[in-house]
This record gives sequence, structure tokens and C-alpha cells, in this order.
Amino acid sequence: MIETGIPKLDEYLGGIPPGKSLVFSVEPGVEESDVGIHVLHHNLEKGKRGIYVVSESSPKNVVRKFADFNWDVKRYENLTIVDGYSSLVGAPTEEKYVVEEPHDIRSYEDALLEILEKNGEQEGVIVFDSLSNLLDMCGEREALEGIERINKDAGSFGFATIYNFIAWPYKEALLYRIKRTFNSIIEINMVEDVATRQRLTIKKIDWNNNEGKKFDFKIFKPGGIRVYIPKISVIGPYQSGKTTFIKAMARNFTPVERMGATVGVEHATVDYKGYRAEIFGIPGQERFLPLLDKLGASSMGVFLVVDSTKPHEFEYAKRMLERFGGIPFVVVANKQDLPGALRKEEVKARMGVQGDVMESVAITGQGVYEAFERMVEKIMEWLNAR
Amino acid sequence: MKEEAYRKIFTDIESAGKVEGGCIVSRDGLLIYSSMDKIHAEAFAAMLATLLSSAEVAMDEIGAGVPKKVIVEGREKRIMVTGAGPHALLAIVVENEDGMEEVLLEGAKKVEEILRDRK
Repeated sequence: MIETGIPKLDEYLGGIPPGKSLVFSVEPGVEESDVGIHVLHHNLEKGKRGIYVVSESSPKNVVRKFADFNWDVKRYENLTIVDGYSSLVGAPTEEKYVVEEPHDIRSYEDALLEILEKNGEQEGVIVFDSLSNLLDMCGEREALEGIERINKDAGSFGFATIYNFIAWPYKEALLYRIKRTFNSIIEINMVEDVATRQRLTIKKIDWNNNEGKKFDFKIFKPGGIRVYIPKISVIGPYQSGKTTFIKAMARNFTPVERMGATVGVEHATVDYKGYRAEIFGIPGQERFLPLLDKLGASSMGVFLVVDSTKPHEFEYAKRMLERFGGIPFVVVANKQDLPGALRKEEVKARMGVQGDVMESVAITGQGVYEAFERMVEKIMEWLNAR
Repeated sequence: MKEEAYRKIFTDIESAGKVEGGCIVSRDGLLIYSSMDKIHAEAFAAMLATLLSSAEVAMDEIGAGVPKKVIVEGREKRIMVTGAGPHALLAIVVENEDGMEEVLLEGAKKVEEILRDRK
């Protein structure tokens, strides 16, 4: 199976079987080649063969595009570049594999077949930097017929094929033919409600039932693609360990503390297993509740941190949680290392909440990432149910 | 693209005085746009929303209405924050706030207009 390196997407795809083709259909305004570069890099890092077919910019640009992510393309001996650009603009090239006739899709087929036959059967991925260019250069019908042959050839050598495609307002008939030609179509749109990000939706997949699944992501340079959650709030009674909990899982922590107590909104970024989330810690004293209403809005999830040795605070904690309405939450039963700490079942029963309660010792980091993983799962389920 | 429109707002603001840059932030602290590239803009955004929210709550306590702007004065730089409609705030970092209030409020009006048609 071929992976994309985008965590949630790989889970929904279950990997890309060799022989399958996938299109990233990107709304104009999003840099479409970034997604293909990310997939290519992931596979090269995994030791798989990568073939990158460039037709919209010079092969020299590939070095720059990788460098934007802080990746050194020259490290990868398992990468082959097919130059479909230089002969188009009449520029000299140092590449070994060149598309001699960039207006003829057969010329692409010839170059790719030569590489595939030379390499023999070895799992890998072929990434085309621009399907839109192939359609424009080679003619829509001819390009798609040739692409079907390329996909078939690639499959017989253990390769999957990936195409970046800018979804310009093409004719419906062409979009229908594209949908018919490829095994999977992944649509990428801009989301500009508040925090700018991209939304990825599986519009077609013919090897499982995950059509319609979606999530938000952002492209970070350096870094690559991360599933992105713009806001998770951390709330809880005074001294329950919220700041320690945030510190244990985050980087770029911005504390707002005086005399050991949080007196304003804290911010931190969690970057974990391909997920990036902005964390907002809101102080727990009752006098700060008006801030909670203002600054907790638009959260996609809430961690409610409680001190497991202080059940008398649970009622207040539950009232804080209720201010957030029906969004995903995880109750963190913190300070499990202290004598008399209630276990999660007891915390759940005493608090009277329907949902996840997870144990933690934030001061040592125990249980912190487990809570984060559970939160991410719940947010993904929530987003897909909306 | 809203980003183009935001960029234009900051081009106008930055041409009006000694402005280091600024941010457009949702009222609840999410970064919408930043013209400053050497800061942790997401954290800065959260703090700006905290500043304005705290000021609003404090003003409300004394029955003084909605704050027109919040200014944080440092030795060399000042932060000026104002509401930009019900959904956002606008903040700029300036060397000196003389004459900048009008520029800030004008920018805030433009932000409000852009966000009025948000989905």
C-alpha cells in the first residue's frame, strides 16, 4: 500500500493500492503542487520509489519546492524526475528522462515506461505536478486516454499514481470524464470563516466506503501538511493543573501567570503525529467566567481538567463545561498520583457527565497525549457528522 | 480571496505612519490575518483577543460602555487594538500612536465590511 503521509487521509483511504490513481482537485488559490510534494517526500522517506513528472515549472524548481519545506531533495536516490517542461519552453535540461513532445501524451507514456521497466517491480508512486497542464497541452480527450494507459502500466509495476489538478471552471463533461477516469478524487477547498485553512473531502473512492469523509488541514513551511484544529480550549477549576497539562503536550507555550496562578488566556501549539492544534487555556477562577464565554467561542473541542482529589469542585467544573454547548469534550481526571485520587469511573459518576473521562498525571506527562488523541478522534467524528 | 483584501488594508495602514505591522483576529482569539512574519502570530492573536475582551468586561463593570480602543504602551513600541465589528478586532504595532487612531478605526471599518459577507 502507498501512503500519502497525511495522517487522517491515510486512515480514510486505508492506503492507496498499487494500480490505483488519485487526483487532488484543488480550488484555485491553493498551491496545488504542495500536496503532491508532500506525498512524494513521504514515500521517498519510506524508501519507496518516487517519480515526479514536472510540466508546469522547471525541474530546478523541484529543489526549491522541497527546500521550502526544509527537505533536501538531493538526499533521495530513489527519486526520478521526468522533465516535461524544458522542451516545452525550449530550455536546456540536465535531466535524464525528458518528454520530447510535450504536446503528445504518448511522449509522457514512453518516458515513464522506460523508467518503470528499468526499475522492475518495486512499489512506489508517480506524482504529476499538474493534470491541468496535461489536459491543456495534450488535448483533454487524448490526455485522459493516455493517462488511463499510464495508470495501467504503473499498476503493473506496483505503482500508484497521484495527480495535482487545479479545479478551474472546466466544462461539466470534462469533469465527469475526470471522475470516471480516476479511482479516487480528493477535493481541497479554502475555508475562510475565521482561521484560514484548507478542507479536504473524499469525493470519490472505489476501494472502500469512505466517500464524503472530510477534515481541515494546513500546509506548514517548514513542516508539511498537518491536520489542523484551530482551537481547543482547556478549562477547569482553579489549580486543577490546566497549565501543567498544556505545557506537557505543547510547544510555543505562552504563559500568563502571576504568583503561580493563571490570570489570562494562555496559548500553545500542539504538533503531534501529523496533527496541529492551537490550545487556549482559560483561567479557572469564577471571576474569569465572562472571559470564558468570550474567548471559548468557536472552540472545536474542550478539555475539562479536574483535580481528582477534589470532588467538591466537580459541580462547578460541569457548569463550566455546559457553557460550551454540544461540542466534543474530554474530561481529564488529573493528579492521579496523589493519595485519595478518584479513578475515572468514579469521577464520571460523581460529575454526572456522558462522555470520555481520561486519567492523567500532567506533571509527569502521563495520560496527556492519550487524552489529546481521544480529543482529535472526537473532533473528527463531530466534523464528519455535521 | 479575502487575504488580498486584508493585505490591502495593511498596505494602506503601513503607509500612514511608522507601523511595524498588525493582525486581524476573531473576537475569540483565532488569527485571521497577520502582516507580521517574525512573531508567533497565533499566540499574539490569542493575547490581543484577551486584551480587548478583558477591557470590555472591565468597562462593562463600571458601566462605561464599549471601549473604543486599547493601547499598550512599551518603551519603543505600542500596540493599538480596536473592535472591527461583532466578529473581529484589528491590532497594529506602532512606534508612536500620534495620528494613528483615525487610521486604525478606518482600517477596522474595512475589516468589518469584508467580514460582513463571511460564510
